[in-house]
Amino acid sequence: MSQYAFFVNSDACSGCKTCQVACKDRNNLEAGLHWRRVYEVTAGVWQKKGEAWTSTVAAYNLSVACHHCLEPVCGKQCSVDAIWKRPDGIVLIDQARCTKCNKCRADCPYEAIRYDAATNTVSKCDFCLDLIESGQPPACVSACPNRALDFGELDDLKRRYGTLDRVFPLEDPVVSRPALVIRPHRHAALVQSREPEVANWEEL
Amino acid sequence: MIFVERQKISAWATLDLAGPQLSSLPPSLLADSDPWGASLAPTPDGFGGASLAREASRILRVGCPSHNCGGRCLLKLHIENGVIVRIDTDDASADTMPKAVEPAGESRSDYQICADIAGRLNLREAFTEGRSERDWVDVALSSYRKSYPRLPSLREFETSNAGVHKVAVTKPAIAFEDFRRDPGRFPLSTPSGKIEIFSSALHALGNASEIPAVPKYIQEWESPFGAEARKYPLQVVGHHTLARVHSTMNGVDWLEEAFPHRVFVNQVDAAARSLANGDEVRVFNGRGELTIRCRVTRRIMPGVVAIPQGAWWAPTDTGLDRGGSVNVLTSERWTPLAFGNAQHTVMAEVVKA
Repeated sequence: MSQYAFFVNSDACSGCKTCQVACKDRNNLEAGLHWRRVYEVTAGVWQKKGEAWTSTVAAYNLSVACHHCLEPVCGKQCSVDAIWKRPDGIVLIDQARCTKCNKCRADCPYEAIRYDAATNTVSKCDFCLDLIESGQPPACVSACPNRALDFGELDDLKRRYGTLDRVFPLEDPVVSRPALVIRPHRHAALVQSREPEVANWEEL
Repeated sequence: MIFVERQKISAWATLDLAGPQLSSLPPSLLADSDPWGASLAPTPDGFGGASLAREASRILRVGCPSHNCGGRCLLKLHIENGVIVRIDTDDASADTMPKAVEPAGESRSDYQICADIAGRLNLREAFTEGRSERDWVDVALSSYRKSYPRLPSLREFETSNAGVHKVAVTKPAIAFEDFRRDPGRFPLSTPSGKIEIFSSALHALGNASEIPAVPKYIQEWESPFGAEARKYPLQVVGHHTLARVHSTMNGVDWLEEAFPHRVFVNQVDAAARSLANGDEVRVFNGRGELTIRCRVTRRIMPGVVAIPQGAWWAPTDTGLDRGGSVNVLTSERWTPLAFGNAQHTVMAEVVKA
């Protein structure tokens, strides 16, 4: 079976959000509707030593969209089968069938499914299906100025970039088995050991 | 639209890079005005109030509803004793760029705005000298090519569609290479011809407290270590934000939601002021005050706050800026030697609004 997947290199991500804006531009999404978004993770403290401040603060960014999970739990409770998985692994939502029950939004461990004010239903990343089918990368991937995003067959990405599919603040992959490969930031272990928090909730 | 007492005006475009009058002015002087003062309360046409005309001499940025919007507004009126003595712009390159879309609405380039203002004063010809925007770019480029002949002409640029003239780097760059190889034959341009730790030229300026002749620490005019810090204890930095190019692109919803306009406050300072993440706060000093929401973060040092520069000024009747323009807090005192903007030498206080 084939499975499309995203790769994100958190170590190369500067948090510029070009991916997010390119996604909105390509898919014509209104302000407030984020199919792709970027976590700002911070940790550490400031301490005064004499007159000087010292800090253990560290941070990283993590760009995420829908992970097109191998076991898409978002669709499990959908009573009208509006969410389905294609043979190439891409998970899609049929807005025409949506009954606005919002169970998928509650079930997705990654908050990838968003309220869509334009249709009063829900929507999410569709992997830029039309671009994929014409042999081009998704808009977020081609827009990244730091080349921090990539896409492809999950097995290929794993061979090239490793098998990590979880870093703070993402949920335990056991829930839905996300099709995601992460290269963590070089300070990820340090950050995660210092009570990390998402610092930009209002932007997500 | 233009307040002017007499038609005693001379105006010219200053694109030719040689305009000595303009180039002799430091950038900080180009905004020589009192942006939050009542004298510049905005009038319905977006220009300054009537008292402006009584000022002896000033340069007013126009062409934008908020003339305090930052460095991207390149259209200027030079006013002396209430008379516009000069209109200028230094941005006339739009015409040579590939056009992606037709200009929306009434939008036009700075040069066209200038030319139209000059036209209303029956001075279009004097301003444009009969040249189009492309002509001015050609003039500037031709002038530059005299000292750098390898540069392609404008026509060559256009036909090759190169966009950027690239020069191959064939060897590592070494600072002062000639001087280091043979200091006798290739002296530096300093009075001694050498690298100077003690500068006799700076010493001769006779301003040792602000321009010392040797490198040394000088306490800033506004500093956490000065008396002013008792009233205004926080240093203010007006950093460039990813959402804008100075004031350009302010108000674009996709960018504002990606990078909301916030004052960044350390958790330590926020706790001391009972500020929670997202609170509306008032930032103020002796020069001005603004309101803005705060982002409590550990990514800035305690004692320092940051307000992204370039937000559009939106003053109330009392001068309180609800747009969050850091310019209302900054001093226009320029740096002693280079006459640069000292816009990060600012102390202020933050309280819950």
